[in-house]
Amino acid sequence: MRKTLAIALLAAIAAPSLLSAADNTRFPPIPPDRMTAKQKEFTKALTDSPRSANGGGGNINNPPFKVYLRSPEFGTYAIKMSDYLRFDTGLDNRLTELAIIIAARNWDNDYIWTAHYGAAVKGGLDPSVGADIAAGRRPSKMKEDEAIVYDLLTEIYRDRKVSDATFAKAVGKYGEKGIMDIIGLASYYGNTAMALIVSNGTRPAGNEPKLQKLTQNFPK
Amino acid sequence: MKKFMTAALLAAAFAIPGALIAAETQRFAPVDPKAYSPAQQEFAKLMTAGPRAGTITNAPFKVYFASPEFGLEAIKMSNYLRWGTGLDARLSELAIIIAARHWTSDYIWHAHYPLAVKGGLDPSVGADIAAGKRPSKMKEDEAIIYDLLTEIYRDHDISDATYAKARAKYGEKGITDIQALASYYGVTAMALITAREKTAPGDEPKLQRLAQVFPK
Repeated sequence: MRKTLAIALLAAIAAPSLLSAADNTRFPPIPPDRMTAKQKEFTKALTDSPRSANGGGGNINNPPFKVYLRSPEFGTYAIKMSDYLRFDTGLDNRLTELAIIIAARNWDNDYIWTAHYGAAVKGGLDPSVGADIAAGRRPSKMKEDEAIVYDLLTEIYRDRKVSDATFAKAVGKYGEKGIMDIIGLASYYGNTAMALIVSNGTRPAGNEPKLQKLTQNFPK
Repeated sequence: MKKFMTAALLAAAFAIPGALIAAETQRFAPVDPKAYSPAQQEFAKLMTAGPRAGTITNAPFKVYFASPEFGLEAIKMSNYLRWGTGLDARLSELAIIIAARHWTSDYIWHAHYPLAVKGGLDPSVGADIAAGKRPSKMKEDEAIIYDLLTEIYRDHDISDATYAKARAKYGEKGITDIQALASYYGVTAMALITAREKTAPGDEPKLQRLAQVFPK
């Protein structure tokens, strides 16, 4: 009995900190028994998604998914799009995750950055590449295929145009399909970023380099 | 014969080099329908169906077409966000022109400014947005969308006051749909930028080039 009380007390102490880590003031979790048929369908699409096997993702109560859950028809398309862009394009994880962290830098989004910096390094990206991006520098240790992804996306974000030289390299390396997949992927993370902003989504920081707050995210 | 040779020389000297220059600068050239993959055929079918009745050789769709698996999901998402949310066209189109302003995308602006006005948005609202001013003639439901999206784009943060108003007016589903609609036009903008798509001039107010597109 005393032991149970002690556990209950510990839980009471632990719970507030868990609550503050996941700010649920906006878009609180919806219990499964109160979900509509479409929300259940979306939840299934999310939990069946290959992201679940990767760990960390696929939890309906996490942002941005708890936002998508409010509009499950949209959410179902978003998850299918994301599944294709992340796991089915044939692009190396190293390059997929590079595109994602560049999108995170564009949106100054710590949540996406924390979630994907580690995945990029695990995929084989030199840790200094992300560190340079976080600091607002052009990375000094990019492989050629990485530099092409970097130039393509940063020119879009910064200049709102893609130079002939960059386009020619991108078509040469990735083809038109690869270009669409890379911009689709970065753009999908714009969607994620907006849903995170809407819901005040936060997650604990890790030991990754932190995104510095800059007036120009991508140097000229 | 002499006439023919002259014509051929003229063609060789002027027309062909001109055509070559044009071809060199074309990005995402149209694909012969006979060469479509099954996924591209499916994408083409979806594009031309329903309220969209789109043209596959137009940007941004010719860019999506390069990756039809992506394109299929994008078009389904867009069809829902544009025509399936229950939001008035006046409000959907307002969200779209705010996204166009964020990206300074003349193409999206040109395509959607008239649709917003047709939907009932006061023409001065778009004119103010194009000039980088907070619109002075917004209805209350329009101002909520304007504040929600511009705070996302400009501040990367939504104030409690704006969130509370948006929640009361549109609910969590409406907020999700509005931000998703604007966000969807991000991929449209990125595809248009990559394809270097030119915009036909119209008589809509033009997007001014500004350092800060949404005033504080």
